[in-house]
Amino acid sequence: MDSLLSWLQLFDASFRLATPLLFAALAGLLSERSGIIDIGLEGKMLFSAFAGAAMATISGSPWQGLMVAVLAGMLFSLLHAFVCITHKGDQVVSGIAINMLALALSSILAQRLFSLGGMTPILSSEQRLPSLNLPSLIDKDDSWISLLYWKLLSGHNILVYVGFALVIALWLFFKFSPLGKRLYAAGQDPLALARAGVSVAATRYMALIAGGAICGLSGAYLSIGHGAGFFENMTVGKGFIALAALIFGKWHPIRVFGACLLFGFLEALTIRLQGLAIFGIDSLVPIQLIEILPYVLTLLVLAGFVGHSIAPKALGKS
Amino acid sequence: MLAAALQLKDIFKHYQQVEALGGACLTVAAGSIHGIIGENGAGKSTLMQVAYGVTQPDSGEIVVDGAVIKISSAQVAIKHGIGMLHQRVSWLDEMSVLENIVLGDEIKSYVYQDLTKARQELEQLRREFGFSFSLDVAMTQLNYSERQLVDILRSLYRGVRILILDEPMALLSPDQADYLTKLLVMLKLQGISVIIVSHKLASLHQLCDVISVLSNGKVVHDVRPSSLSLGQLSKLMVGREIVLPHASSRNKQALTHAPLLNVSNLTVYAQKRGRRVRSDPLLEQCNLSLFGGEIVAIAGLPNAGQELLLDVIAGLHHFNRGSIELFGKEYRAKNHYCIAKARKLGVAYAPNPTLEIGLIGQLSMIESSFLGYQSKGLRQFSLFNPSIKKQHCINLMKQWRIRPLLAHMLSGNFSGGNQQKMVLARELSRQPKLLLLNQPTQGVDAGAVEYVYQQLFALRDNGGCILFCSSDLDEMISLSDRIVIIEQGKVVTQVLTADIDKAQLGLLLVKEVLQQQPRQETSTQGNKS
Repeated sequence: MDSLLSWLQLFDASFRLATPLLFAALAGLLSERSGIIDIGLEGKMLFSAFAGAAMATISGSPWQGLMVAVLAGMLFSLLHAFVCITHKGDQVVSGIAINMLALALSSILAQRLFSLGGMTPILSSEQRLPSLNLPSLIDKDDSWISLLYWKLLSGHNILVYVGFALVIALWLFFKFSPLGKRLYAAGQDPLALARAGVSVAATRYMALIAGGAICGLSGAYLSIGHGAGFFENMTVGKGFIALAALIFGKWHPIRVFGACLLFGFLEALTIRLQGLAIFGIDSLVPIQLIEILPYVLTLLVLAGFVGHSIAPKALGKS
Repeated sequence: MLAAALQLKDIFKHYQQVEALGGACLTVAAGSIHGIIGENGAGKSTLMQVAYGVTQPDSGEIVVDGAVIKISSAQVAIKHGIGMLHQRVSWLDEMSVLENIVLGDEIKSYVYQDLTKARQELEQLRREFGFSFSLDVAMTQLNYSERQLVDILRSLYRGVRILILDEPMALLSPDQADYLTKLLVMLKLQGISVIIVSHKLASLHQLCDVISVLSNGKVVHDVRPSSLSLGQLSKLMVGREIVLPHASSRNKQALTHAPLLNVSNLTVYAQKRGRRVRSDPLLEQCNLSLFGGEIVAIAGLPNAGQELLLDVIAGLHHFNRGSIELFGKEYRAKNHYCIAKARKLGVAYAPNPTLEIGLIGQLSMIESSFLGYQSKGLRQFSLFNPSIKKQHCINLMKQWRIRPLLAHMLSGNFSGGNQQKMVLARELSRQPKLLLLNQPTQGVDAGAVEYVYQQLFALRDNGGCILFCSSDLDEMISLSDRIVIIEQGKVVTQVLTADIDKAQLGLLLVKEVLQQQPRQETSTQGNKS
């Protein structure tokens, strides 16, 4: 019983930790499927986290915060699109510039607005996005189904469910929607798309801006959903892990979802391991060593277990 | 005189320092078939791209149905009823024909696309015009010319009134070419204006109402083919009459006693998901001997295995059984026979499609001029002395009249015919003992074909041997000494070219078709189940 509960808690934590990765990876999926490399996920995530927290602090409403976070994500994506599509600039360089810009701009603006050393004030629970309790379809008792439902599925932040829905929506989008087919074509064979009489540039702009909005959700989740406020460099490489999940998931929404859950699970595991004695040596293992585990595992997964990952054919070619 | 459907007035276009079009004027009458000819690099493709909005001219006017319009993209061109069959196909390979065609349709619902109406319309068009492919097969399953024809189906579906065809006959087999001719006449009867760019002067001479001759980016002549002979037409294009040398004038002394190449029992199995399928061999028990001093053609229906046979001999494709004996040394499947080894022995290969396999579009012409021979390049050209490499490239380009004469330009930016010339120039400059050619003169203009033939005969008369396949029966007859006929991966028979004429060869192939018909049907059914 106890072990079941602790496993449930572990999975529960994986869901919470996988969500920001999931949003960022899906944002990356949209732009990379359209043929534009998106290294700037980290920066967009960070800046929208700041924008969301700042707005939530000032207005007191998490929903306004969410909106501003999404807008911020779109704005940064627009910048990336302007550089890469309109001016055919280098996509990797533009992405790196966005990461640097976001890191510096978010902490400078935070300091200027709130004078807390690059942080926003801690948000109260009314200023954060609410959690959602699922309808009482199943009675609360000790059966494992009930535990699964109430401990694992119910009670997450509202954005966690949005994330799940988005996975399915994107899968359907690419499978059935004519727009999805065009987006896919833009990343696979832009010439074929142009000959069909569709503007490749417009398709890519659309994909990037939609991706920016989704990336904004990921930032909002960090600062006003899961967390309670913004602090300097709070994303700590999550954007890059999301990029790894995107490659691991072979640019396919459902597989990317699986990859994000795996990375979320690894992160949950490291948090859990910090309190435990490992092989009987509990104080000797430095916390830092455990904290690097997800990053090391990311490397291992990408090096060994991906197999043959086929990128969109025209990715990175203007 | 019918009203003009399309007018291009004083079109100028520069690429960096190259003038591709220098004030080209073209008037296409409504409901006519209008041919465009010119040497490689004369600007034919560029002019067509301007009309379809893929390339923007520096200056000039485009008039469609009496109204001046600006064609800023293919979207605008399609809206004005202009459609195009492209020289190089570009489709989404894993999608079906239907999905590829509706890709650019107006989006009515963002959620779901109802294809029933589009399917009905396309099915009707397909039957009306007799397209042979099904709408639901993936693009990869069509061969190159079928993929080109999908362009026509799409144009018809979009309500085309002016159809541009850029080199449609380059890769068609004779019966496919017949089909295309009938199709174009049908389109003409429906009032659609057809513009056709091609190097096949004879076909154009029969088919077209008007032919425009392009030279150095200008239209220099507009002629009615009914009023002049084929010889006069070629004179207009290259300034002299084209006389193709004929194989019969060969040097018998160069013929060697021992075969240079001996292929015995060569078998290649198809592969599905990495496993070989023994029941479905792509090549089965092929036997072939080639002697020095002769040119041999492989004839067959499209996809009968002639291209694969060339690939295998060149070392580009593995084989499962049998052996290849080259210059007296035998190679078996387990010996890791590969293209580098073959090249070292003196085998040269000009593959098809040129841009995908023969050249790298992102490399300059200088690098393309010794691609595949880099190791020799180290010794011969000295990697650290770029001027020698450049000189080598310039020499080849001058010798083969490759234009524009800019060695630093990316090879992908040259026209298709010029790319083909560069591959031929590169392979021939090595003086190979065995030369393999797949569609040797595809996209090459009539004047240059003459030069290519001269070079090939020179190689043969010096004791080299050439094995080639071509979709052009005339080319097979005039170039080869011997024709090997291949059918469904098997070498069935061979004939001496001197004993046969074009009609007989055509009959031989058609007879094959007739014999093959029932078998083909069963095999396609087998594929489906």
